[in-house]
Amino acid sequence: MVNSANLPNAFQPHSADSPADNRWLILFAHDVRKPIARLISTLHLLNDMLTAQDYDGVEMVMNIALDSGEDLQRMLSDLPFQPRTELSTTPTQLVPLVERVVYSFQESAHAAGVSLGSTMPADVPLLQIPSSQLMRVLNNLIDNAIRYAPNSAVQVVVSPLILEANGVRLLQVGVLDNGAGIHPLLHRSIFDYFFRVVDQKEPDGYGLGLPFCKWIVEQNGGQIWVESTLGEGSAFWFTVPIYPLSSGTAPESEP
Amino acid sequence: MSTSRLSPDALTPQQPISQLVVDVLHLLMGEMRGPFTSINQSLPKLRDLLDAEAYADATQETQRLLGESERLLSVLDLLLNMMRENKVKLLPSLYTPHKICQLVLAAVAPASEAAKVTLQVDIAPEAPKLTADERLLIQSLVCCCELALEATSLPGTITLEVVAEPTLYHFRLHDPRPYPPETLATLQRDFATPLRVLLQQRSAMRVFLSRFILRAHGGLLQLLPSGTGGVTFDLSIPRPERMVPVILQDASPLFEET
Repeated sequence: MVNSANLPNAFQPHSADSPADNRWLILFAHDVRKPIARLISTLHLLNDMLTAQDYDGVEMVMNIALDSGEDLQRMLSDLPFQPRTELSTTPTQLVPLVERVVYSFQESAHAAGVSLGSTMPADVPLLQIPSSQLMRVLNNLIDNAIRYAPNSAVQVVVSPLILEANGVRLLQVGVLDNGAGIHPLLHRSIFDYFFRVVDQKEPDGYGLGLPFCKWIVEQNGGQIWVESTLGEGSAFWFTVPIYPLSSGTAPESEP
Repeated sequence: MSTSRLSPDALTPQQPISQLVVDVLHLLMGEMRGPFTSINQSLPKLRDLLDAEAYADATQETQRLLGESERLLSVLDLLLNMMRENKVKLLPSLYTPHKICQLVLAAVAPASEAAKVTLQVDIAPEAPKLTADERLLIQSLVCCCELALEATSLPGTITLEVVAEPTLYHFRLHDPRPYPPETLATLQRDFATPLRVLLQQRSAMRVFLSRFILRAHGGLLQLLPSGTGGVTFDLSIPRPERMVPVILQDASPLFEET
């Protein structure tokens, strides 16, 4: 469980209609920026094409806009969002989810000079976490890697090794970059709410993405941490429980 | 990556305004879930226009959708910045009132057409430019237009008048249509309720947002009854030379309006 002693007031349990706390609301405001910002840039492009009467590529641009709309719809349908305090009863397929997320970031990765890909073993077990929540963790980690490690190589890596802790089998997933790395003194603090290092070149950071990743991962029975060396890059790893083999529930492929 | 990011120096502290922002977000999700859904529902309509090669209409719809998305993002950023910095952060620029009004009209055109209400603009040709966070100011005006359009189902004409006084700019939305007494009473009650109380009640999002945005600009929102049973929404912001001090200000006092 999350230790609420160190949380800002907004995240403390306080109201009748949010039984656990209010983090879901801030998480929504934080995460919903991305599909809206993507939609805005797409609409600007579409508007430019229509104004210039250049209709050749409008269908493709429109499809990107529709994708953003679908992302928005997924987030709305996930409200009120609340990471589960009990383990998920529906297994999630990791591979198609990673492929979809990596695909959705290709445009912004290209714009930042980042080569983005994934490395996954042949047999990836089903996971015990709602796919929409796993997607938001990956979205935030990849988005951070692209923004904070431009002109680098970013990889989503699924470890072939199965870990075990307290009788629970865990899969380890990571988002790795070969950017400038993170100072060792910050390795724990970057998971605190609103913690960020002031940098005028990066005005969009709110210091909420990593704390929310931590919240989601821990509520689903996993852990998250960073391994980083200055000048060499960073690896954000998290673990997720593997879905018990005995269950016959159909997997949840994508949110 | 910038090396300044890698240093533990100059960290931002945690902020006490966060609870108020949570309350605003509750309001947003409770009463303004509509804009999120509206944006999403407009996309298939836009695709249909493109499929039908109705490019003039598609351009208009794209621009409307763009404005709606940008305003929504501005409100989210306003809230997230308040959460992070305990300050209201505006991004002011110099605009002609004519442009502001045209963008407002475009934003509410579908709703006004559906309501059989004509929106017209009355601006003195010599009206000087104003300084404001354009998207937030437009959001404030759109909120008032929506309040008017929803107040009564009567057809009619609403006039958006711009008046430049020596120290203040007024955007006055004159709606002469008679409002049902209970609607008028609700509006008057909401306008007389302090912002912090509106937050606690989690009601009247449009009134809250419009008033909050104007207060952040150092301005005011007032509801004035008209002789016809309708109302005038009077939105005032300081002239540019008085705007500078309020670009970045503590958020907490803005909630203490009485």
